[in-house]
Amino acid sequence: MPTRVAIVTNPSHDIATEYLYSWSQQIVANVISQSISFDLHELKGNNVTKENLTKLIEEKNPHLILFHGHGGNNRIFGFKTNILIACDDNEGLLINKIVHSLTCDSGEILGPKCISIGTKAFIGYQKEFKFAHLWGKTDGQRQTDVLAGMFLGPAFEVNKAILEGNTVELAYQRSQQMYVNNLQMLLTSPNPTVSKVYASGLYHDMVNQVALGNRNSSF
Amino acid sequence: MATTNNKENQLKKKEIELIILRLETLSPEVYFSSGNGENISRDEMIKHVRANDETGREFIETEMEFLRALKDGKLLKQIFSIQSPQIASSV
Repeated sequence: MPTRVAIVTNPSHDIATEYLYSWSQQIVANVISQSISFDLHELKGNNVTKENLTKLIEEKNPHLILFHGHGGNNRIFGFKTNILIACDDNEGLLINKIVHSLTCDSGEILGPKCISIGTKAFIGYQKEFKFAHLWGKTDGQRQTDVLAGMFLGPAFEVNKAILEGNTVELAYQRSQQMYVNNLQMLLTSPNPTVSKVYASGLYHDMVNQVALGNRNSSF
Repeated sequence: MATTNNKENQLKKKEIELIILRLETLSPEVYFSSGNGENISRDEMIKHVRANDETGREFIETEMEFLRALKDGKLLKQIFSIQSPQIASSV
């Protein structure tokens, strides 16, 4: 069986992207612990630039790209203001790939554009990806932040399911199901410290998550 | 026309009051991560909502969208369609 190749981008330059980085590490470790093998290439910190991403995609020809960072409706950002992928510029880099864009808004215009030119599948968010957190200062604190976990758990379930070899459809369903479970927990918990105020952000993420393209494709 | 505007303003005021009351139930140690990379504490968010500025209005809109979905049954419908997609699509 040919080696499955994935690329992950973790700019990790502010508290939001640090949370994404910490959760990314945790999910990859979890999948590897199941003896699932794949070749993973990570761009991290100030290495998350358009030039480095382009070079890595051309060298490794990955089947899967996981973007963790900020975004706009027609772009995905890397380190700080570095634009990694933009509509009508270099979206061709994503042709024939499965993409999970854990960024704000990129599922609105960039996602459909990518699918129209041959990206296999694109999972992302049509609007802002919202989450609340307790400003964890270390990887450990961020990985065990229960509040952040309510939002990041469903989002990263996509990565977990895809890396495990499931279809995009199943990855999306597992993520959506986790959003529902967390919403139900928030709405029905008798625990007074579990605030229903977080439900609005969670609901927002759930309804704005999209899976475009060939949902039967897998990594 | 003046009466309609007045009613709309009163409604907006009530929405702001409602969202502030909801925010005040949270721990002050909570932060909200926003799309532009900003991370806003509970107390800062209350200020944004009270000022009805762009960040505040966006927070209010997300809250009201959820509360409306809860009230009109849309939320339950969506939960049901995710939990039992085959049954929901045949209804």
